[in-house]
Order: sequence, then structure tokens, then C-alpha cells
Amino acid sequence: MTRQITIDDILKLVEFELVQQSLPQDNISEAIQRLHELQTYWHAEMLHKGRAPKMEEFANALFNANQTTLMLLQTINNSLEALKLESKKLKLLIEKGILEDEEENRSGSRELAYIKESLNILSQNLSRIRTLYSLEIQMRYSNLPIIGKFINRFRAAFHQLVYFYLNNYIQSQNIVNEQYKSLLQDMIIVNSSYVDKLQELILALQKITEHYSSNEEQS
Amino acid sequence: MNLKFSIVINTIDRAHSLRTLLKALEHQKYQNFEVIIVVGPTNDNTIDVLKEYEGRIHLIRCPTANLSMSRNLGLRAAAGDIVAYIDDDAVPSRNWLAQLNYIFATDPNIAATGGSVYLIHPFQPMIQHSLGVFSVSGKQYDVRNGLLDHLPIEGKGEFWTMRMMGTNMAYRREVLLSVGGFDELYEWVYDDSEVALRLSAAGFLVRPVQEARVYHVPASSRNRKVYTFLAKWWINTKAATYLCTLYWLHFKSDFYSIKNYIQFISGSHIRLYINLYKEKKISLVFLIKSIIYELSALSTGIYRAFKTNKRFSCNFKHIGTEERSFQAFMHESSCLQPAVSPISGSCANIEMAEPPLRIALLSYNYPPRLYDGVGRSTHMLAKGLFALGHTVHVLTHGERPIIQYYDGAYVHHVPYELKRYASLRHLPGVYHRLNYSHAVHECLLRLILNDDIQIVDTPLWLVDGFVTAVSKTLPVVVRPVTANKQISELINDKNQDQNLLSEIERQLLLHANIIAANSNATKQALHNVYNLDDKIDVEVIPYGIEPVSQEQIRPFPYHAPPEKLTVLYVGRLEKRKGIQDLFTAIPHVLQRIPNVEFIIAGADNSIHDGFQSQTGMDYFTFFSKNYPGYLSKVRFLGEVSEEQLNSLYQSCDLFVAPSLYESFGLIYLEAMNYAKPVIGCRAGGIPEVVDDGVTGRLVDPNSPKQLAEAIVTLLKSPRLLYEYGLAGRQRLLNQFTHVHMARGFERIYRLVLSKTRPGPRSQEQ
Repeated sequence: MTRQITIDDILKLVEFELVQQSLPQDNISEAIQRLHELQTYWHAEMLHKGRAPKMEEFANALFNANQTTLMLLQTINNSLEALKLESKKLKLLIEKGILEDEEENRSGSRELAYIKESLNILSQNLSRIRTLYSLEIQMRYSNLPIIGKFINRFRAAFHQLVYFYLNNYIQSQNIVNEQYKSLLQDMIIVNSSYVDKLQELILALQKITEHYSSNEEQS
Repeated sequence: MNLKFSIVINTIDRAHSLRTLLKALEHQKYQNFEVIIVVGPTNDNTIDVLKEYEGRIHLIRCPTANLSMSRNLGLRAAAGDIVAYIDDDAVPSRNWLAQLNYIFATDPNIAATGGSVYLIHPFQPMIQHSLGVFSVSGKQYDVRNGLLDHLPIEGKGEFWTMRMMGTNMAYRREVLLSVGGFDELYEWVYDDSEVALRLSAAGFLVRPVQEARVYHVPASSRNRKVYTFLAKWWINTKAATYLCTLYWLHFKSDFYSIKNYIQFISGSHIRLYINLYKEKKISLVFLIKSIIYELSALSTGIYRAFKTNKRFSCNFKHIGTEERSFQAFMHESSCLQPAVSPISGSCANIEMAEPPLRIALLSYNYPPRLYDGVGRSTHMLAKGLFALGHTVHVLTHGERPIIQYYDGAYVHHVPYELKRYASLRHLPGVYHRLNYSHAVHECLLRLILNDDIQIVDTPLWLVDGFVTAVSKTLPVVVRPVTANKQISELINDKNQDQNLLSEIERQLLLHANIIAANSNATKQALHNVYNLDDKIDVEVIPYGIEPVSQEQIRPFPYHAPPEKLTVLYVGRLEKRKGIQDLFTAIPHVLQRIPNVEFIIAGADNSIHDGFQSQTGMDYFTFFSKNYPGYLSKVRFLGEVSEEQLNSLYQSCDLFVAPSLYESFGLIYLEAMNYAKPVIGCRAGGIPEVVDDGVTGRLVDPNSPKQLAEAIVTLLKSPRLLYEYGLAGRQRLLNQFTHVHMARGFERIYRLVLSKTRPGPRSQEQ
């Protein structure tokens, strides 16, 4: 089903672009994306789907992932702080009976709707991030006569040794990852609840505005 | 928190630029600052210039021409919390100090910062510096363009730090003192970068920012001749060699990268001298001298580095600070200072009763790059507003984000990418205009931040200011000319794209704080075409042009009329401009007066106005096929340059433009400017410009016979040609100059600003 574009559609598009611009820089989704890409890449690398990585590269990748996660946490924390401030401001305005411009309220609730939507997307993305990893031995077997068996046995022993330490390291990283993930999820929940709270406050404010204006008309 | 700023200006032999800078500093929004001027061994009238500012500045003399020494003297004399350095040939944006204060006040960890530097250059304007990085081996990049990704990784002694450019940098005074100020062995360059290295190495945070702009208008100095490659490049080599060797010794950085860098610097300088000699720009003696100096600079740099290295850690002794009172620079009348041209330093020679305004004018095309009707009228408005003392910024389309200064206005080029409104790709007109309008809006947001813009003035044509008007970020004044809808109806182009563009125009009008129509006809047309509510505020302000000097005007010589008379037509060759009526009239005229030549100047627009699809030919072919006998008497010039156009106006005897509709008719004014009689149609705003029977003749539109009659009548009467011409010129001087126009717009800008309360953004600032 198609219909012609009208000027109302264009005005809505302009509003949409302006709201996009007014939202804080989209660090969170960018960071999630980067994290996701990193994990996918190293997952593939470790499971011999790509080139064989060096230990140093692996450690570097983990550090990068951690760094990105930390950045993510910081950004979410900042937005949480900002929301807290907004919430306090609104509460104060309601308490003092200072009425905000109705148009501003409307644009405020529109922005909140966008924040809420981005938080949902964030939460979905987060649930997709894999935090638990383990490595299984995958080695090349030698088919040489007589010495092949010895080579294989030696290789297996060597791999086991390396993988033992590597898995230990990965286990501890997994724990950190899990903690990060749960922390992020908690923060998203808190953020969402703040958004809900803000929306409630805006509704309350609108009611007060209506009540105020009807009183004014009567008087 | 309002920190105290000490602005240090180091100057030698640049009295003219210095005066401009001081005038510009009076426009700073942030007022808690003092000005310290350190004057080197100057040979010009710098001291006389500074006498005007006696009591408001601190004057210090520096015995030698050494920039670092001069900067240290300024630092030592500073009484502010922050020491900000600006070059004597630069002009700060209005919010320069306000932004620096914000940065230092909000983050106590920041020890040094500085903003972008825009090079205001007549031929190669560019972003000269923005978010620079610098390494101990002397390499420097700007972070923009993603150059950071290509930097070699740290390690092997390669230590990178952010850096500022000396033209625009600020430091916490205590911090700069604690690292010993600037190293005085750098006479001219690298001093700014090297101090950033030392600050970073000492653990201080150096964080340049992208905004807090400074406009750099380079002037000649004793080390460099502006706009040429002639400079004492060996000073640069000495500084680079000294820096690289010293830090190589100290940080044990990579020897080969340093060796290569020094080779590159010195080698490129020597190659440059040789090329200059080949191009005969320098003499053989100068070439030999330069090469000797270059080699000597290399050895001096290395020698000094080894000498300094022995006492590097304790070399920069703390400079003692004496207590001194803080002398604020700003004057009581500062808020009434007219705007300053950063290039010539000129400003309006008038007493202002109210504070000058800061205005952003929008125009997709703008001279000197591209001329069109809107660009031309915007140019005149900008020039007029500057003449009245206001600061004008013009936003126009360009390929790169550069800033020029042209005829009283900062011209910001706004590039745009088609990265938004993807769902409208099938409507190319709407798609492009919305994307451009959004890019303009973003540029305006940065202008609010840097230059504290108060109001936006947009033409209706091409709807540049649509997004800004919808966003309600700033008050918007719309300048309607011929509406898109009128043109689509005239040329019978009614597709969805055109319809939506017309709707966008209507919405822009509805979102405007005020509409400034150029004529009563435009006002009426707006109501008719867009069905606007009568309550919508439409003011009529006629356009104006800059009068040429009295020597340039050429009234008709009625005592000695020329043998051959010239009739000029200027305008695009299209139906709306009445070109077909002129074609029909030409034979009638030539039959009665054979000694007439018609000159037709303007680009052919037969494809767009549908003429080609109807007749299968362009206007020139049409004329040559239909009127072959008269072709020798008609010259088609096509599109002409501005200079050519002026000379055509000057040399013609009669100007004819039988447009079927003109919202105003700027071309008639241009002819009247040279005291030429004009013939136009009774349509649109033309009767408001051309006084029928006084400055020219008016005929009915679509009436070639009337047109021919009017041309013949005038050409047969030399006295009328003379009198109408002079009366036209007088009418222009009385009513239609660019200053008359600017006064009208100033009035409505003030009206709008008095009605609109300041937005949250400006309150924050």
C-alpha cells in the first residue's frame, strides 16, 4: 500500500532529525556494537575459524573489550546522572507550581520516548552479547609413519598445557564479563525506571497545567 | 566560575593588524580580562596605536625579536588565573574567552587548551589548525580527517601529545610558570608545541577543543612575507633540529625517525629556495645566503640541544611573579562598538545608539563564487549591515568547511552530504534542500556557540533556513522573492517534488518570526499564492544596491548623441523574463530606427522553462531562424562576468527588461545606478522601482507592440534618455541604496528580537 508524501510527513521527518541531534551522542550503541564485533571476531579466531592468533593479540583484544565495556558503563552512568537531574528538576517544578511551557513538555516526552526505545534496543543488544567462553583443543594431526604418533602425543601434551593456562585466564575474564553484563543490565533497568518516572512526572505536570488553565478561564 | 584572563599579544611591526585585534577584543562577550601587549623592537607606529588604549592595556617592551622571550615576558606580567595567547594578526570569535572560561572552570584538571584557527585567506582559506597532535620527533598533525589512525604507535621514545597553535592557546598561569614558561631558544616556531610536550610530560592535561574559534588573517612580518613562500625558513630548521635532537637525547627516541624528519625539513627548505630562484623570485645571492643559513641552522640546533641537554631537567627556572593589579580591558562603550573588518580593520564611522547586532544571512549562492539574484541581494544586505556597524555572517554552499571574509561579512561555506531524509530520495528537490537546510542548521548551532548569533535571515528561495525555523532555535526572518509556486505555475511544472517544495516554502513562511517582502507586489503575491492568514506579519522593505561613484555614471550625451544607439537586455533567456516579447519587438524597432544595436546578456534557460520541448530549439536558434535579417543588429553574449556586466550597463543607452513578473526588479536599479533610462512591465514589483514617465517607461506584460513603441519613443528623444537616466540615479540614491535596505532590515531585526524572549541556549551562555 503506498500513499503520497505530504508536508506533515516532511515536518515529522525534520522533527525526528532534530530530536536525533538533540539526543546525546550515540556512544552507547556504538560501544555495544564495537564490543559485539570484537567478541565475534575473537570467538572466530580462537575457534580456528580465522587465522591463528598470538597470545599477545588475544590479551590485547581482551583489554580492548574491557576498555570498551568500561566506557559503556561510564556513558550509561552519565546518562543515569543526567536523568536523575532531570527528574529532580521536574519534581521541584511541580512542587513549586512553576509551570513549564506546554510545547516544551511535549518535546520532553517525545525525547523520553526515544530514550526509552533506545534503552530497549540496548537491553536487547546486551542480551545477545556472549560473555562465557572456553577453548577446546583443536590440533593438527600428523600422519607421518612411526614418528607421527609421537609428534601427535607431544603436540597434544603441549596444547593441553597451553590451553590449561589459557582457559584459566578465560574463566577469570568470563567472570568479569558476566559482572559487567549484569551491571549493565541493572543500569538499564534503573534508567528505564527513571524514564518511566519522568514520563509520569510530565503527565502530572500536564494535568496541573490543564487544571491551572481551566481555573484561569473560570476566573 | 568567572576566571580572570590575561590576554597576551606579542607584536612587532604590525600596528595595523594590532589595532584590528584590539577593536575586535572590545566585542568579547566575556569581560573579565586584561590585555598585555609585549612589543618587540618595532619599527612602525605600534606605540602610537597603543596610546589610544592607554590606561586599558599593559605595555611591555621586549628587547629582541624572540617570540618565546616575548611570551615569557607576558606570562610574567600576567595577573589573571589564565593566560591566553593570541597572535597580533588574528581576530577572536565573540565567545572565544567565554568558551575558554567554560573549559577551565568545568574541569580543574585541564591545564592548557585552545580552539580551532580558521585561516582567512583571499585565495586559499582553510581550517589552519584544529585539535593538533605533536610528537617528540617533531611530527605534527591535525586530528581531523582521521589522521590519528595513521600515527605510528607510541613506544621507542615516540611520545605524542595534544597541542595548540600559538595563535589560539590558553594556560593556567601557575601551571605554565611551574614548567618554566616557554623555552627561549625557540625564536619563532615550535615554541607552542614544545611547551605542550613539557606540560604533558609533567603530567598536566593538555586538551585543545574544536570550538573557541580564532580567525587568522596572516600579515607580513620580518620573518615571513605574507601570501608568498618567502620566509626565513632556517629559523624553522633551527627550531626543529633543536627540538628533535634535545628530545632524542632526553627521551631516547628513535634516531632514524628524527634524522629523517630533520632531513625532510631542511631538504624541503633548500628545494624551495632553489625553486624560488628558478622562478626568479629570489636572487642568486639570496639563494646562496639561504643555503648557508640553512646549514648553519642545522649545526646550531644540534649544538644547542647538546648544550641544553646537560641541564635539561633544571633548565627552565621558575619565573618570579610580582603582585600586580588586574586591569580590565573592556570599556563602558564597548557594547556600542561597531563591527570590525578582520582584514582592513575598518568599521562603520557612526555613533551607534543601540548595541550592534550579530546576524546570520543565508544564501545558497554568494559572491564572489557565484552570483544569482538572491546572492546579489544578500551580498548588498550584508554590505549595508556592515556599513551600519553590525557583525554579519553569511552561510553559503561550498565544497569544504572554510571561512572567507568578503565585503564586510564572514562567509562560511557549508558543505552537505545526503545523509539524512533517505525516505525522500525519490523527490530530489526536496531531498537535497532538506539535507542542505539541515547542514546549515548545524553550522548555525556552531555559530551560536562561537559568535553568539542573535537572528537568522533566510531567503524563501531554496528554503535554506527551513530546519532552523522549524527547530525554533533562533528567531528567523524570511526574505521572500518570487515564490517557487509562482514559477512552477508560470512554467507549468507541477510534479510532486515541486508541489512539496511549494508546501515547504509555505511552512517556512508560517514558521517565520517576520516576513520581509521586497515589494508590495511580493506581499500581495504571498497572500494570493500561499493563502496566508492576514494576521501573519509581512513587512515591505525594498532592496537596494551600492551606488557607483559619480565618476562612473554615464548619462546619455543628449548634446552630441552617438551615431549608433545601444539597447541592453540583462537576464536569463526564459519565458518569465519576457525574452519572446523582446524578440517580437526588435524588428519593429529596427524598421523605424536602423542605427540601433541590441545586446542580450544572460544564460539561455530554454531547457528549464520548457521552450526547447515546445519548439525544439534554444532562444538564439529561434531568433536566428525567425528573424535572420536582424541577426546582425543583435548580439547574444550569454552569461557575462560581473565586470563585463557593469561595463555593459555603463555603455548602453537604454535598458530593457520586459519581465512578465519580477518580485522586485533589481536589474532596473542596476541600470539606474549608471543613470540609464529603463523600460519594464507593469507587473510584480517593477512599478515600485521604475517611476513611469520619470525614470523610464512601463508597458503591459505580453505586449510586444507597446514595448516596441516605448523603445522607439525613448530612442528618438535624446533629452528623455538623459532626463530619465538622471532621475533614475537620483531615485536610487534617495530610496534604494544598500544602506536604505539595511536600515529597514535592522529595524525589523530589532523588532523581532524585542518580541522574542531569549532561548534556553543563550541564557546558558
